Amino acid sequence: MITLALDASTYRGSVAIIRDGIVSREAEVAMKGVEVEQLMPAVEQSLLAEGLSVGDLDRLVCGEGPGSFTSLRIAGSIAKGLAFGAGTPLFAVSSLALVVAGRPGSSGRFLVALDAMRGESYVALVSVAADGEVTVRPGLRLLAGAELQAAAEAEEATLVGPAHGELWSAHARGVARLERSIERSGPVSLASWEPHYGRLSEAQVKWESAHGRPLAEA
Amino acid sequence: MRVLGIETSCDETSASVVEGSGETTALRSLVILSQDVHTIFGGVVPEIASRAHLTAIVPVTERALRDAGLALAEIDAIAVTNAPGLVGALLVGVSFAKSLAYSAGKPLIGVHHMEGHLFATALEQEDAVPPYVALLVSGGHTLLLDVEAWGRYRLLGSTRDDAAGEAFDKSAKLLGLPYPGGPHLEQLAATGDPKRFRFTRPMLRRDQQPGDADYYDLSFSGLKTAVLNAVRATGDALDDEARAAIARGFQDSLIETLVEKTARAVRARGRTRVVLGGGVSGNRTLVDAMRTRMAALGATVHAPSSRLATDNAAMIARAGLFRLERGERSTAGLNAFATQPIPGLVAE
Repeated sequence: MITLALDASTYRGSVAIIRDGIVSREAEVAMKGVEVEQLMPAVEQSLLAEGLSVGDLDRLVCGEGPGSFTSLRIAGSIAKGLAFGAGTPLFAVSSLALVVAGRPGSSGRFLVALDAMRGESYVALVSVAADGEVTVRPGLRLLAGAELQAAAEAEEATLVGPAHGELWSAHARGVARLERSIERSGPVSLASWEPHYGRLSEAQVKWESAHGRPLAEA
Repeated sequence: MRVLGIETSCDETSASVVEGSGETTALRSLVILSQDVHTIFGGVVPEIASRAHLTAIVPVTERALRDAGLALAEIDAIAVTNAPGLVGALLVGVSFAKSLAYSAGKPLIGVHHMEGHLFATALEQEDAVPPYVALLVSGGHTLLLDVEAWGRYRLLGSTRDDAAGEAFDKSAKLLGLPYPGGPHLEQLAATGDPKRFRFTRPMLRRDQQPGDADYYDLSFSGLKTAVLNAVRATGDALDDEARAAIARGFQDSLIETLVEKTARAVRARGRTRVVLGGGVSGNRTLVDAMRTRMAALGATVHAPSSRLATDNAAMIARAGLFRLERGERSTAGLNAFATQPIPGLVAE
């Protein structure tokens, strides 16, 4: 089973090639402030270095967010183009789970927090079993910065995330430790899948607040 | 050569297949998915547009291939708009096209959206080819160019503030018309008294000489302000008749300016053809006025059909085909840019 995984939920994008659960190649790129887009070249270079073509891949896995809207879309668009072009199934995975799964470590419970701006953070509870398998509790929460530590204590979890150092950033290599839950969730539809952005656009928030109903009903 | 074009620069997700070589090209398919949601906001919301592109891109591309009766393997290359436009929106098309080209083992070419507009009319009218004077008028751009040859363009003039389409939409809003207001304003103007409101023709004076900085340039923000002032001055008397008269005054001023600047270009460059492009070229009053004026100069006017006038992937595939035939290729690092000069611009 050969998997190509990519994530760009933050301004650091990552690519990993995983062979039967073992990461055989990984790369990291900047997603912001670059003249030349770097994520697609990293995909090509990783495959080339592994002697693979897209047709050799059994599946693609893309970090679904939450996170930076534009970066998430770049990764999502690349993933869709590869999947559509090669007829390879595409799977999605929580980028918050990749924060824990991408970092080798001991078992336990982690409350992963990612800056959602406006003083808030996206939060998810991620558990690492004794055998190393990572699972994420369904449901994404948005918490104020001041509530994070108390929420972690209530869950008997360690509070982690990019704010706790670069090692706590989402990385595509984490897909290797999430394979069973990815397999269970099944592939996504290329025609309807989109990232979990975490927030609506500002314009939509204002409109819905002014009109007292969802935009979808307009 | 068969080129799959992809366009996501604003609020239309579009894919198309164009086949041919040199000047002989044929449109095999064209799918344009317009995002109606923006009418609610009275303008394009970039984040909403970008999100919609990502969900639409695969179905739209799939449909364009199906309509063309082709499998992806039967396509020879992929062309994608990478500038100018809304960066977040462009990045969806660019990122998708790059990975699609890579996975299908096809060459990729990034295309300048405005160069695409120069090629649009040639897909329908075989004599809409260089040399010609081009007037590209849309919601985001107003450019007057001399197209000496494909890939060789002389920028004569452009707007210094609002684009022509933007002026239409903003004035329409002032008149209480729905977004996008251009077609509504044209319809309203048709019934308006042409003498009741006469607005100054912006940047158009008889004493201007070739070489003057404003000889070809355009400006529409003052005209929009004139509409605002007329609406305010009319006050409670702003009935349907007054609104129609203001619309007429606005449109007459804008069209006369565009037509006269284009006439100057035709005379100065000695051209016998004028090619229009962009959403505003769907304005029949503009096209008719342009035809009448150019006939007096011995020039013909070529306007695209409405689906090729607005943003579409067919023109991107066609311009891409031209660039590919010249041996040009883009790399996996192709990026999106909000602004960028048209490639092939020559200095005065």
